[in-house]
Amino acid sequence: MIEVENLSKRYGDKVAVDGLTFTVQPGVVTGFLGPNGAGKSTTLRMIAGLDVPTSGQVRVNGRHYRSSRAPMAELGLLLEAKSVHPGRSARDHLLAIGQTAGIGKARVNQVIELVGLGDVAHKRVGGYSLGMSQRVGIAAALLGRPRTIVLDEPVNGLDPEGVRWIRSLLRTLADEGCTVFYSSHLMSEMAQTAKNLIVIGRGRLIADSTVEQFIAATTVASVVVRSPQTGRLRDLLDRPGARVATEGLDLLRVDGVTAEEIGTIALQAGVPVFDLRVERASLEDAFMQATQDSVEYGATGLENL
Amino acid sequence: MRTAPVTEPPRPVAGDLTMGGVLRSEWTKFRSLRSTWWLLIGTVILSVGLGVVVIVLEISGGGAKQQPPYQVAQQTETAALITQLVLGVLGILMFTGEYGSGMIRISMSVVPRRVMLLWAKLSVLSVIAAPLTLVSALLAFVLGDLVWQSHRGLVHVGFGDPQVTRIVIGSGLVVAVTAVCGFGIGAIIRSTAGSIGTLVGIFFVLPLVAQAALPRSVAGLARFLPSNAGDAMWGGAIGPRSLSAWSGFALLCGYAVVLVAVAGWRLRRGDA
Amino acid sequence: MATAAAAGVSRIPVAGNLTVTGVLRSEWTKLRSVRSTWWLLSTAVILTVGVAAFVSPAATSGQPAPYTLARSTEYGSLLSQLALLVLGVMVFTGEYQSGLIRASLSVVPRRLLLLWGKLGVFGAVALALSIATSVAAFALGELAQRARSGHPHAWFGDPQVTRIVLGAGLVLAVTGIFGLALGAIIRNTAAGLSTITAVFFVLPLVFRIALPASDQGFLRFLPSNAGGALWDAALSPTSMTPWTGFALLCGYTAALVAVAAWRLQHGDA
Repeated sequence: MIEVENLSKRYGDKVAVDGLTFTVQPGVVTGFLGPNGAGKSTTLRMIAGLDVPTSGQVRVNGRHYRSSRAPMAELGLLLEAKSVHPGRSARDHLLAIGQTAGIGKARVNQVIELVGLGDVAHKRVGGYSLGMSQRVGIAAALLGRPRTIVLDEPVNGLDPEGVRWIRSLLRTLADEGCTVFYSSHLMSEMAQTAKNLIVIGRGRLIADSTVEQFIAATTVASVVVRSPQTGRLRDLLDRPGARVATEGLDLLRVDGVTAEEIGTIALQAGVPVFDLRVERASLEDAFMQATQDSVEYGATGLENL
Repeated sequence: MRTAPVTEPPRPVAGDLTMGGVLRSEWTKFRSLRSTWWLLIGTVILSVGLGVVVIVLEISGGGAKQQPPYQVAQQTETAALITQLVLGVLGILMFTGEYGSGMIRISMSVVPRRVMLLWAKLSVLSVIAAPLTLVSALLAFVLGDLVWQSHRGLVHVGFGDPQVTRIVIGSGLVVAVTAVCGFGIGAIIRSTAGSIGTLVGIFFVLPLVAQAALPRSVAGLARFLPSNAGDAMWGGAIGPRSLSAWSGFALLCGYAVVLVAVAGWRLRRGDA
Repeated sequence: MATAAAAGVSRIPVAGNLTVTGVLRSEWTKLRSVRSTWWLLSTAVILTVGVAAFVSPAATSGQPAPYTLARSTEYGSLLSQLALLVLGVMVFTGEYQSGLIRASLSVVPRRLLLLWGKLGVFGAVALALSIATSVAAFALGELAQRARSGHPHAWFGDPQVTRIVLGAGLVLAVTGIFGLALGAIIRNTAAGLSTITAVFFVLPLVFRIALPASDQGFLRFLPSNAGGALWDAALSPTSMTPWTGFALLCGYTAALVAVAAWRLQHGDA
């Protein structure tokens, strides 16, 4: 469990994190979203005790992390892949980290096999590809089998197989009762993996709910109907609160009327319907909608490309 | 409603954070870099090699017979001037290497009580550096002395002479303490280039400047510079009116202690 | 359906040709936009000029000889020398360590152009700075001594003084370039800095001990001492004639630059 209370971090007169309060529950995968510069990395560093908050507090598994007796049992951390000395082998790197908590070669080799680096673990990390370095970082986070895992962009640099592997890894960890908290920019992936969501922008909390609730709260789901008699269907659906838009020759997009109602109306009027489905907005749409005011470093148009 | 199942996670593999563990971890970090071994081996080779070379040159130079024994000993330890730099850099890299690669964030997250990190690194450095420099100094002297004796007519310079003993052991100790000074500087400044520049500036350049440019009245202050203080122990390259051997060494150790203390303070308070 | 449009015609590149001026401007931007550059340089200047204010020659007679004083004020330049060496080495090692070298070599594929560009910009900055510092140090030292003893010693316009002051500046600049070339060859910050400091600051000490009194003359061939003849900063008793010594230093530096150029041209990035 991670409990963040009124957490703030100020660098001079720049406020990176402003009064954040949220709780990350164990047993579910929680996603951490926010535009670039929103303060995600700063928040994660404060959770790990690396940076000192200007005000507020953060507790990991009920206590202040830095005073833990067994830090590696409490928290596993992945911040950036490039946190390894290029002259060392992955095996020695992981061994050095684990030895602080009495972890030996056996567990190190276990984790190396787990992340798929068995063949290259004895080679210098300097020669690794981005994906391989990423796996070293993930291995380090898993090494102590901690109760809480915090990962900053774990899928960065991984191929599609790797992305899937992360998804199942995070789910398995959560099912085992771990607190799993991770940030990502890959929305489609996060929508499939995470159950709960924390969204921040400009250092402030924007949302703290489930993925479904977030999407429902920020966007509208519409019903798409495909029928040869769109004109007739339009008239049938003309009622207060309903918005109907025609898309193409045989497609209607309807807001404000449920799919069930549309289907029933069409059936009763004898209008053939070939496709009737609810189109939910994607997490990406919801995120863009929710954070459009908080984008710190927005790209402008493509005119000067 | 957010969901939160009631299961208890499986028992962690990680045990408590112990000083023994951190020591083992720092030793692994130390021994697993090839560059470290090059520096260490290089130190031994330099010490012995240069000592012998200097003796040979001295013999062939012709002024050999007039040499008092302590001067011979000093010549065998000439390499200490260079190995001070080499081991000083090794000390520096113990922290600046981690800051440069970003590893420091991992180290500080698995060892949140950061002073443990400082002590463990310092211990590993000292335990390796001190025996290494002492053995190198000893070897350099013994070999140099052998070469000296082998030349007809030259008297054996032995440990019977207390000055000789002090010079041999002193040069080894001074190099080891300089390594600790480098360690402190690296932990404070955190950048490799800045730390090496500072080490060189304080240990090699400042004495030169002081010797040549200070007005007479304050020229005596030069003996309090760290490198000059250390030199009092083995008399490598001193300026005028240096301190007595052990006071000089004590002062050098004092500098090292202060540097490490400042490093510890800085480590505890700041951001990673 | 999108058809393959007249490929390339619709996009007019913004980038022009690769020019020497362009590379020079680029290298100047790289140099001036790193904070550590300014830190190093200002610290060195302040220390050098500051030391000069306290200088007093080690002569024993009551009235110090005029040029002894001039020489002594330049001893502070040793600190500037250290700063320029560090800066010089980092011109290349900084790019190798951060990975910037890959971008640099890809936008300037004529690699020697990159080397000359860096050399040119760094050399110009080093020269301007060292001469200015040298002039300031001498002026301050002389003025300070006048204030203490009331006797004027020497001033600009005296050819000896000009040689000493200008000489110190030139030697410093060339030393910096020596460092740049070494950094380009070694490509690693710690190794480069260790080597350069060993060559310039430790080697003279070692040689002084190692060489018996009769052979001390060899000292003047060391890079650190060769240039010193130009401003009589002899760390050894027998220096070369001023310009010969300087030429030797330039020779060492040119050799290093040649090696660096060869390495840059023929290796991987």
